[in-house]
Amino acid sequence: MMKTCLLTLGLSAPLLARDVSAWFPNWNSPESFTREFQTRPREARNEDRDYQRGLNALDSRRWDRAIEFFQVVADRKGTDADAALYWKAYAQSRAANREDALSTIGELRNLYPSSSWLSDAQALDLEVRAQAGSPANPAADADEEIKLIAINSLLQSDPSAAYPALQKVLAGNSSVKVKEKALFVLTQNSTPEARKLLGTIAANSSNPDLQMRAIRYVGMMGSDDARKELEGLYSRSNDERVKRAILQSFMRSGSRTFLLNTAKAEKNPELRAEAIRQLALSGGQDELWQLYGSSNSTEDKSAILKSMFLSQNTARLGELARTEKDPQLRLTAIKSLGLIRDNNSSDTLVSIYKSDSNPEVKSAVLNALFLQQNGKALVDIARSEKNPQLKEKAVQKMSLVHSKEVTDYMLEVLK
Amino acid sequence: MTEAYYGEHTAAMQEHLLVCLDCRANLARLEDLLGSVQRYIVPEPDTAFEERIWARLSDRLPGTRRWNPLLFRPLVFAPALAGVLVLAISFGLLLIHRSHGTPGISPQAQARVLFDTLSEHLDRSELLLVEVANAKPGPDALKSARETARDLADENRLLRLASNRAGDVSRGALLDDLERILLSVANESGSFSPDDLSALQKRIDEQGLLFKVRITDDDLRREERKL
Repeated sequence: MMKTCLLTLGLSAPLLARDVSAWFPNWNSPESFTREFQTRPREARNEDRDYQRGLNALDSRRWDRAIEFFQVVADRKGTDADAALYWKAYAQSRAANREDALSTIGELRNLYPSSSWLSDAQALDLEVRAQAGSPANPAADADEEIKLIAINSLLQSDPSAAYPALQKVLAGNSSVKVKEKALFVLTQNSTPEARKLLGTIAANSSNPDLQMRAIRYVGMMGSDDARKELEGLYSRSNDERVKRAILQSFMRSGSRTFLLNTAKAEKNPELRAEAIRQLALSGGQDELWQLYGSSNSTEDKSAILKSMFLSQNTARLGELARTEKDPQLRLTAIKSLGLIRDNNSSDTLVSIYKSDSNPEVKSAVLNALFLQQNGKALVDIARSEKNPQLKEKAVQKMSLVHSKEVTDYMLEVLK
Repeated sequence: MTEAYYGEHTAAMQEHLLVCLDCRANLARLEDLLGSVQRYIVPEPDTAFEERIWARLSDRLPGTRRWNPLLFRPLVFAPALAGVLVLAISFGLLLIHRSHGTPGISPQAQARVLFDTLSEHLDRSELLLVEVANAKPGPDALKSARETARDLADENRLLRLASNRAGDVSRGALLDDLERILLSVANESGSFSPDDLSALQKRIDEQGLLFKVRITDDDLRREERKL
C-alpha cells in the first residue's frame, strides 16, 4: 500500500504542479531532478513535443504550422494549454489573421482566467487592434505595462489624447522601470508638448533615477535649445550626480565647448576631473592640449594626462613624457604611454630610456614596457644595460611577460 | 438761363426759347460770356511750385515732422525698404516660433534615443541569453532570470513597435525573435524540466540569437555615433 502511494505520487507530481520544488523540498542534485522528469507519462511528453514543435515553427516563421501544433496542445487542455493559446494567437497575428488572433485571445481569457499569459495576451490584443486601426484606450487597463502599450499605440493615432495619459504615468506612483519606459515612449512623440515635458522631468529632482534618464535624452536632442537647457540646469543644480549626468550628455552629443569651459572654471575638483574625462571621451584632443597648457593645477594636469590615454593620444603623451618639467607629471605621462599598446608608444618609451639618464625615469619606462607586455623591448634593454640595478629590474619585469623573446633570453641566461 | 446753357433745361423752357426772342438773345450773351472764360488756359505750375507751397505751409503746421527729401531718393529708399521687410519677416517668424513654444523632437533625436535605449536593452538581453544558454537543469534553473526576462519582454515590445514604426524591419524582426525567448522564460511558472531547458537552449542556438544580438548591438553603437 505504501509503495503504491509513493509510486503514484512520484508519477503524478510533475504533472500536477510545475513548481516541483514544493513536492521535493530537499531536491538538490540535478541528476535526481533529471531522473524524476524522465518518469513523466507519455501524454505529457507528447504535449511537450507538440509544444516544442510549435515553438520551433514560430522560430522559423512557419506560422500556419505553428498554429496547427498549438491547436493540438490547446485541445488537450494540459499544463501548456494556456501558453499554446497565447502562441497560437501570436502566430495568427504575425500571419495577419487579426480576427482569428483576437478570437484566440478571447478563448484564452475565458478558459484560463488566472493564466500567467493573460498580461502578454492583453498586450498582443492591443497590438493587433492597433494594426487594424482601432484606437486604444489607456484608461481601460489597470496593468501599467499594458497601459504604456496602449498609450504608445494611441500616440500614433491621436497624440493629444495620449499625452495626458502619459503625463499621468510619469507623474504618478508607478515604479521607476515603468516611468523610464514611459519616458522612452514620450521621446518617440514629436510634439512640442512631449519635448517640453522631457525638459521638465530633466529639471525635476524629485525622482533622481528618472531625472538622470531625462537628462541623457535631452542631451540626445542635438539642438542648441537642448544644450542651453542643460547648461542652465548645470549652473542651477547643486547635485553632483545631476552635474555628472549633464557632462556625460555633452560628451555623447560631442559638444566640447561646454566641457572645456567647465574643465577650466568649475570650482569642484572632482567635477573638473570629470569634465576633463568626458572631454577626452568626446575626442577633444586639441581642447585637452590647450587646457594642459593653460592649467596651473598639478591635479588637473595629471587628470588630463590620464585622459590622453583614454583618447589614445600617443603623440601628445610622448611629447610630455620627454619634455614635462614636473617630474611627477612626467612619470604619469610615461605610465600612460605604457597603457597604450602600439608601435609608436613603444618606440617613444625605448627612445626615452636611451636618452634619459635619470634612474627614476628609466625605472618608470621599464614599468611601462611591462604594462605593454613588450618582451622584445625589455630583452633589448637587458642586453645593452650596463647598470646592474637597472638590468636586474628589466629582468624582473620580463619574468612576468609571456613572449618568445623573453623565453629565449631566459634560456640563454640560464645556459 | 444757366440751366439752359448747361443743357439742363426742361421741355417747357425749350418751347419758350423757341418763341421768345428776348430770352434767346440773353442765352446767346450768356453763351458768349461763359465760352470766353473757357478759352483761358490754366497755367501748369513749375517743378518747384509744390515744394515752395509745402515749405510755406509746413512751418505753420503744429508739431509736424520734417522729412529730409534725400530719404526718398531710390538709392536710400530701396535699401531702407528692404531692411524694413527683413525686420517684418523676422518678427513674423519670431511670432510663429513663440506661438508654437518649444520645438518638437526631431526624427534624428528620436532615432538617437531609440538606438541608445535599444543598445542598452540588447546588452541586458545578451546577459540573460548567456545565462539561459549555460543554465544547468535543476529545480532552481533560471528562477532568478524570470523577473529580468519579464522586464526585458515588456521593454522589448515597446522597442520592437518603435523600430517597426521607424521602418527598421530587420531590427524589428530580431526583437520579435528575442521576444519569444524572453516570454518563454518570463512565463515559466515552475521549474524548467531538463527537456524544456534543453529545447530552449537549442532554440537560442539554432536561431543564432546570441550572435545576432551582439552584432546588432555593435551596429547600433556605430550608427548612434554617426547620428
